[in-house]
Amino acid sequence: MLIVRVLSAVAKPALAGGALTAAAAGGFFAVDKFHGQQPPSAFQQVQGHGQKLLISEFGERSDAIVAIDPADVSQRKTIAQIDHAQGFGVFPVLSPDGQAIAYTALPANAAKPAPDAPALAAVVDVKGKATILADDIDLLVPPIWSPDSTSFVARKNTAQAEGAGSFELLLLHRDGARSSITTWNTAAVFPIAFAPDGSALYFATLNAKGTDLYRVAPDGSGETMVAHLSDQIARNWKLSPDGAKLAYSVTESGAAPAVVTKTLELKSGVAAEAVVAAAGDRSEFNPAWNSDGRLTVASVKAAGGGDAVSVGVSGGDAQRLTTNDAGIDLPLGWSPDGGTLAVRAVDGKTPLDAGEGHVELVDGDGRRDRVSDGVDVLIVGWLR
Amino acid sequence: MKMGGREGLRRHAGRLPAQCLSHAPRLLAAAALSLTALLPLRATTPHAGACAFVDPPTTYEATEDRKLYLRAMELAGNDMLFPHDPFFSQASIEVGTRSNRTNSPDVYVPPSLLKAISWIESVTSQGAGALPFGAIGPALVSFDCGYGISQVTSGMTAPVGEAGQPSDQQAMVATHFAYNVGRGAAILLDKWNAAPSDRPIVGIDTNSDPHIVENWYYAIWSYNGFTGPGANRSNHPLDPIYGSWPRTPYSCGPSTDGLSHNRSLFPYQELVYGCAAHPPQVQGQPLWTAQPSTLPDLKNPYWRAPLDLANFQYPYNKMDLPTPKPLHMDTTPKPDLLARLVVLGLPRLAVDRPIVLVNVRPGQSATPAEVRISNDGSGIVPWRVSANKSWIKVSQQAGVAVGSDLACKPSAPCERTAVLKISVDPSKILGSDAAVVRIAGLGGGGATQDVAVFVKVNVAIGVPGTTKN
Repeated sequence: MLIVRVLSAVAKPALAGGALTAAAAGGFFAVDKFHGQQPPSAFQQVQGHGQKLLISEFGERSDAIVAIDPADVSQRKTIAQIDHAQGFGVFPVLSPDGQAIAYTALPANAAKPAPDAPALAAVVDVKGKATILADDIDLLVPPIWSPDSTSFVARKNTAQAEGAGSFELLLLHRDGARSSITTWNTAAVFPIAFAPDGSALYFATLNAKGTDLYRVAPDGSGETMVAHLSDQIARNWKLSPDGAKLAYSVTESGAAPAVVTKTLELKSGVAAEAVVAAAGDRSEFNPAWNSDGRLTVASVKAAGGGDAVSVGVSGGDAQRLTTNDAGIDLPLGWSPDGGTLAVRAVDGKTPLDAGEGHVELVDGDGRRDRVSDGVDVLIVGWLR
Repeated sequence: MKMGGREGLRRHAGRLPAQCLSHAPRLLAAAALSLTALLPLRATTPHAGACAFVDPPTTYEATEDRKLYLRAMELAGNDMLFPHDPFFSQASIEVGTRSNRTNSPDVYVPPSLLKAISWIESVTSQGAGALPFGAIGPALVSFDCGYGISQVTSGMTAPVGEAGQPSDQQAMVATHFAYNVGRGAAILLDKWNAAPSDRPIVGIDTNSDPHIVENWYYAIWSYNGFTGPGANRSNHPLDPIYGSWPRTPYSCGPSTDGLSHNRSLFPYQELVYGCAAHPPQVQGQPLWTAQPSTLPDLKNPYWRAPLDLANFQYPYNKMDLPTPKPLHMDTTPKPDLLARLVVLGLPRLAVDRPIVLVNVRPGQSATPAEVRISNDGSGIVPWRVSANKSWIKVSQQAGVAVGSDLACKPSAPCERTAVLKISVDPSKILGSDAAVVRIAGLGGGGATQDVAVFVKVNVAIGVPGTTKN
């Protein structure tokens, strides 16, 4: 295998005068053959060969983006290697068209890396060309792609000596253009997803009053509160494939403390519990939508262990999809054809006992395949 | 860590891990040190916009096994390093519940937590990243003025001594690992003692006993910044910024131990507890005995309800927690009295001359004089330089002289005797003059020695080689 380092191809259209280094973007891209013409990148090579799960495997100084055949997880191909500051992994996300990966990363040469240090936002295209689009964004907020795959949203926090500072959602275009969508000084903001037609971005706000859901046009106009999601911390926000519902989990106190997953009708602003028949000590979290509109959540059992369960569009009784009595299956996402569920299987009967965790693929027959020996594995997306 | 409102900006040190450092090119380190030697002399007047020191002062970086550092932490944890010192420890520790809080003289921090914090903060290193172990060279200073092992930022962002100079305490924190460790422990204790007036308590069912490692949950959180949802970097365990829950624990151990090693995924206190339970390995050995602990059960209302969003408001009096169960005591043995002697030694400052002469061509140049600062005793003498005239320039504001009892790696830069260059600003000298440079031996090194600086002005009268005094 010929390893081609493409660092020289790094372009910085938005940062022509910046101080970024090529090494900060990092990247190795592998090709099998070279015939005197531009060889296909490893990313290109995995295109058009059916569904592939892309994962990010953490390394102390460099994360590997690996394409895996869900039908045979031993078929793996590293399509990119992203350098980063020591100890701080990257957050990569595959574009909707499957032709690019956007990521946030702390530069490899960061003077003193920290989760709140300014991070890079960059994109790797299908040819393996890495382009840094910003060097001042928040590491821990993964990019949110626009439906047309031409841009993505990143968050930028500007700290202040007192208080939380400001939070800005930026639209970073792959051609280097950059625009501000919204800026908040009264709450932290978290981009969630674009509406399927790209007309709006949904984002959550979080402050002492709870979690709210907003929508705003990509040009920053028409910012509107959609719903107050919770007086508590809501998280795991997932927009349904048709853009009609938002699933999220929230930890509720009160007479019957529970972790529940809810679905919100975006049109009406009405929320309902996803698992309506459940009662007692509930722990349902980590929702993931299937392409058919069914919702999958992790459900911790009273006796310990947690299964991935599926509920219908309108909610209802949970149907068990996986069985895990010794650990908890956290749904991460469905394959495009809806036949395979990626879960993070975390050892331990309860969340407090969480131990080793691995990403596994579960098919309709309940067969499980571990996709990586590593523990620090993130889902980048699915190639169709 | 920070004491004030900027505490949310805590950052981790960018230091190569031990296993990488052991292979670090020595030439690179040597080159860096040579470069330092070529830097211009520093005026003793203050500089704006810098940290406590214009340039990193020199320090002693102990051997890679970090035994000396870890022993210092064991002493600090048991308040045997600088007992009840108001700056390098605390006079007392608050114990008890919110309604029953009292001051106890039994100052204590679980040493395992100090060790884990030091690894998270600096990979347990006092020296700069390029400085090898078993060497003398520049101290570790982060861009946000975090100094040394504990990455002390509180009080280190600007010189706070008289006449705009660094203070003795700043010099000790920056140059001597033991004072740095002591200061780090003092700040952690300060976070603990901030309860109940400014922070919540952990251990409402265990009298908030500081010997229980779980009871330090909020203090550790505060060490990095008691920031919650809505902050730029929240350490709240349920904050959406940490995408996955439940989380595989963090580990400082080998990458193959089946646990997480990605710092991006954890609030600070989970990094520290994870590191304490899964210590780093150096030279094939864990740096300390694994210290297990239990995190608050976020599914159980006893622990979860206090962490409700509505409760995260100053003075956080609704956030008090029971001790997470099962609880754990730190099993690190209490060090014996000799341990302090091993860590601190019996340093004794010595300066090789009381008078120096500096030749000056006004408005042109000055020829520096040199004095040698050594340690006739053992351990480390941190020292700080000051002058009574603003036109005096010195090559270092502070540094160390290292006794022969401390190990140096054969190939590493390790000048135990410091060479201080004294010069003057020729643009400010009009005629022959005199000044006093004071070299203060700090800590146990106690003595202060003055060096008289006589300035001889040489005026060129037109014929090269001829001067008029």
